[in-house]
Amino acid sequence: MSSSGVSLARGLAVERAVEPLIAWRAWALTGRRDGTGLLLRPVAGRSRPWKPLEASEAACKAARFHVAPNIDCTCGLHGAHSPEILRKAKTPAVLGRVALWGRVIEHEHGYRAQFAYPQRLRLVCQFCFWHWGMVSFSPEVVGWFPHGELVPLCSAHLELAARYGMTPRRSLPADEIDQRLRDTYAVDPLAI
Amino acid sequence: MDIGRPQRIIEIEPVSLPVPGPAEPSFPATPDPFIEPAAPDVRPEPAEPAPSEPTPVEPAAPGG
Repeated sequence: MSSSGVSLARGLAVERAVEPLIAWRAWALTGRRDGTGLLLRPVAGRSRPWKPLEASEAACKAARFHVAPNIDCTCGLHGAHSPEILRKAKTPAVLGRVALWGRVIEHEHGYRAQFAYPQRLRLVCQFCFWHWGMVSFSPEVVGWFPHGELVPLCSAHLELAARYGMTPRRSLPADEIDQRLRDTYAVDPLAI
Repeated sequence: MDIGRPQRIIEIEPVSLPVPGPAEPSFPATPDPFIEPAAPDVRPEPAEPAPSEPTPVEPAAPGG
């Protein structure tokens, strides 16, 4: 990578590279009642799924006339330097490593990119991940909720969720959904 | 998710896209048709034409 210019917007250096950057990312997960039709979705603003075997391309809803990611906006496909920051993500169902390329803006704790595709994926119990981070978050079931939302849960948090009225319409085996998700996106498991 | 302030811009044009292609079946969908080995080319040599026997010429009838 070599320095080749200066951004007019903020005086940031513009560099060029040929290897995609790899970052951490969390997704929400949707699917059919039987656990098929799995789709990764952003944890915030779930309207645009990440399609299997296709590069995701950033788009900005806030501004119609700039290309995402824009230096003066928050648009772009986000990735984090460390998985720790993802513990604050809203209801993560899948944790993984993602390749980023095209126009990429590097921030203090992560990136905003023009194009992205997952490289490694794993289901997470969101409550375990919130509490203990990367130490332990293996879910045992995947709960199917209205609107096709799939929520992986460990047995302890499944019971706790039910006590608070968060009872899934159907429970699917997590290991099968985990494998099906990786097959759908043709990626490797996230080893932790 | 707050990722802090922007630090630099990187323009990345990967040599090969990090997107897997469609899965290919590990075995052919239809078996290869069995092809019999070609028989050795043993065409019979064209037979030599038998030497034609001279047509007997009838002797002309005497007189007329």
